[in-house]
Amino acid sequence: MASANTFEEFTQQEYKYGFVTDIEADTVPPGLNEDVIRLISTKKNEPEWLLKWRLRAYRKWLTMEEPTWHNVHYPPINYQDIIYYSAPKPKKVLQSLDEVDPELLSTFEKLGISLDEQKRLTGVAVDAVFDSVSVATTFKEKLSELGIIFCSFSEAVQNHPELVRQYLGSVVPYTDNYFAALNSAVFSDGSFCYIPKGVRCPMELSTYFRINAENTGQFERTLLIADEGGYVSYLEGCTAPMRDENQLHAAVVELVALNHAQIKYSTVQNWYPGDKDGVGGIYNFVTKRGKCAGEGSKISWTQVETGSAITWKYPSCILQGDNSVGEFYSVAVVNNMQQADTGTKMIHVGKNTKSTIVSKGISAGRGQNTYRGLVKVLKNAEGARNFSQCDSLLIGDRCGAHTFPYIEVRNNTATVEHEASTSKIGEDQVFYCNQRGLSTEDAVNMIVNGFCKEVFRELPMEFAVEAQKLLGISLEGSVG
Amino acid sequence: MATMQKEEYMDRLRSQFDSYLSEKEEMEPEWMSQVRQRAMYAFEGQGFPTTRMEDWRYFNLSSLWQHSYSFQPIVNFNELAVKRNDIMGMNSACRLVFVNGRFSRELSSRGTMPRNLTVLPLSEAYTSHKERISSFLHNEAVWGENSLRSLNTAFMQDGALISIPDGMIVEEPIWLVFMAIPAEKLETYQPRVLVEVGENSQMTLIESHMAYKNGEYWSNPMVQMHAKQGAVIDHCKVQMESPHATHTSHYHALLERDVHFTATSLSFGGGMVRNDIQTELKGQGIECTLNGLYMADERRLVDHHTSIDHQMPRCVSHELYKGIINGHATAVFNGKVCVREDAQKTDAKQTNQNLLLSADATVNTKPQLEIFADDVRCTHGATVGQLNEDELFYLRSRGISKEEGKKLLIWAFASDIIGRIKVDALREPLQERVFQQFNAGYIK
Repeated sequence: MASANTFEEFTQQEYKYGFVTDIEADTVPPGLNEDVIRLISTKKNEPEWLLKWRLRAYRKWLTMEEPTWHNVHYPPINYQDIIYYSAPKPKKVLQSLDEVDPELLSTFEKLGISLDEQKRLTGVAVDAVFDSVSVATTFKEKLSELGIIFCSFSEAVQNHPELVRQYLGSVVPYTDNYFAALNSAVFSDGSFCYIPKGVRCPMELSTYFRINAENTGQFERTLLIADEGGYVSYLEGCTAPMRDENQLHAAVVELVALNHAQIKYSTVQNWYPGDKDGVGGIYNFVTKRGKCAGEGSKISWTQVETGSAITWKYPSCILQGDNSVGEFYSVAVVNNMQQADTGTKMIHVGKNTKSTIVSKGISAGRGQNTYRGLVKVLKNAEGARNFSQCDSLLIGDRCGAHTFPYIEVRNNTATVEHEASTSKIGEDQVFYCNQRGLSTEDAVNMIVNGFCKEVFRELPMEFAVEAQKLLGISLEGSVG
Repeated sequence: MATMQKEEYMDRLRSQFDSYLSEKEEMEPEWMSQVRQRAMYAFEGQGFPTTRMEDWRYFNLSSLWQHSYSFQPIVNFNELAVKRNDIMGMNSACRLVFVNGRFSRELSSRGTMPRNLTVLPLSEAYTSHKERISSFLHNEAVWGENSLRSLNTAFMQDGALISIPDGMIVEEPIWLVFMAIPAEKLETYQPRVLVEVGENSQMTLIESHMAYKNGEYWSNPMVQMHAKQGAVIDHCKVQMESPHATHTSHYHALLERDVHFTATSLSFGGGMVRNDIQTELKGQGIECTLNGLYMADERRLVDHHTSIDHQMPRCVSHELYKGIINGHATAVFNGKVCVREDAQKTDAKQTNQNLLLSADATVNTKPQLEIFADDVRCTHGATVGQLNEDELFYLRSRGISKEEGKKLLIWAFASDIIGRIKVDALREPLQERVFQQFNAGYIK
């Protein structure tokens, strides 16, 4: 076939002359095969071992089957229809906010996002006062003084290959699951962070300040390492609605905490959920896992999931070091036709390990919300302790809330507790608020926020405020 | 015991079935053969469950098809010689006794049951109660739900038909005793019980599975219950199979409006035990209670799967399962509560508590809620833990030895379920049985 030949030539050529940025075709045709992976790797100028790793992942992926155990339904995905590599295209710069979708602006208004920030988020040219580039640069200098490495994944591969090689796939091996294997084979870019020994990161690290990782594409990869005694709080995502033409997102996040290190990872996910009838919307299939490799280490996941047509993610903790601690705090909201199957896994390996799970699910409209969690206590995990609580709130009579907690205990000194409840907003509660002059919508908002308080408390301050408002917007129109 | 491949096993099962059917055809009406044949086809399509299936992930059945169990057990003994008064239920007034899956007339008794109440072995009821039996057996959605149920339908050796007319209060409990006398050859027993309780009737049903002597066998009983409007039913199942036996039981209960239903499962014996309890709440105002106690030690496996399907509004369900696990044993609990869209005002509560007594014991528990209605109150909880040191210390400080203290605490844990059994003739021997187990080195 002619195209195959050209393709072959093309890759050969690339290899021969090294990395050239000025290529005419910056997008490969849809479809996935080993050549596409070679091409991605070459374009990103990756070392040989990484290419080999990608190929191993791809070959494994071919032997795997798409999971069907989850409680979400979607039409089959054609993996040969996806464009696996497209070079970063400069975004169209808009002249003023007038050119931005008014619906988007009204959402910003409700979220209380400042005008300058609105411009930045929508891609309007920003003035010097709020130049995210300069802000980012200042922060970067400060971080590098402390020895913290915070950069895009591709940069890390170039500049810190030894760290990447040591930790990549150490928490989520490419054999882990279907989507993780796919991501390992074709991941586009993502973030990398390394906190050296004994360093406490002075600020909340967030993609907000990270200009180099824009356009990370649909297969994002994040690797975060906290060395002995290090501490970092990392924020991912944004409360602003994110529009993306890619339907499938399969990201992988790996966290490694060494002795006495602490990682706090917060996510606010607000991808496009599709319209009221469930047309469009993002499929968010994410594998997130943290390893408490060292003694006394701690990993804490906090997530607020309001977007995506389908959410499939289980941020997990492997509590390997003795006395290590895992935490999971989650608020998942589904409205209209959204479906969420989310939860966590806590694997107790070391002695005296502790884990806490607090999950709050809110279903409205015709949304289906599933909590799926695993608490596993292995044979040698003496004195392991787990407490899980998952509560569901139902708004409307056509939504669903489901709980699938798996508890597997192999040690008799372990204490594991799980409790769950499902209820709706009481009419008397709403009536009480109405009586005091609150509209039904405001009353529901208030009750929902109270319901989620335990989780919001874990979010960094400025995020928490936005998350509360976001919740209100997500549930708009679900009452009365 | 020769191990073999799955395909080879299926072929041999087919030929076993054909010869079994031709033997049965002489005694049974034609429609019965058709049911058996349909069930066999269904089984061949489904195959044995594997651990790759979500419902069977902790229960490996491969030993069942790797060893060739005979579906035609030998019933060759002096029935009166095996009558032992220490076997539970043998002295009760109304009892049907089955030995190796077949009805034993000598050991059974009708007692003083009223004439219009049907308690019959299935093999004698095919002609006289055709309508009733066939309405149960033609419900393919129920017996086709999993392959072991299909297998029971294809190979059922005998069983019981119990039918209570409308408005009758049966005061004496009806006992079904399933006794196993294991032979040299591996055998499987496939009894089937069909129960129909009329409107506003009341009955107590006790089902006990026990072994006359130790040995290896596989029993795969299935019970179908249909409770009509306003019926009150108390069902207890006691499982004390031989420590090397495999026991896979299936229970399907269809409940109509205002039924008051209690099912208690007590599992003490068996090497590999699986109890499936499925209830469908098809009317309003039903009260459904599922209780259970399981004890396992050595290398045994006890697996309970319960399902409560709330299909109509204003029903209440309570579920309490407790487990005591020792040695290298594994316990599995999977409790599903489903609340359908129309089932508003449902109140469901589910609890599973496990006591791990040894370092090598394992518990896998999954209390599961699926809710599609909004005006409901549903809670579930699961705990896994050990004896409380403080409580033990308290008892010891009052002069009770450590061992006695442990016994007391475990007894307190177990008596929560045993204490709820209403039939004295069952509760008292069970209490004794639990203490026996304690004294036989259950607590170290």
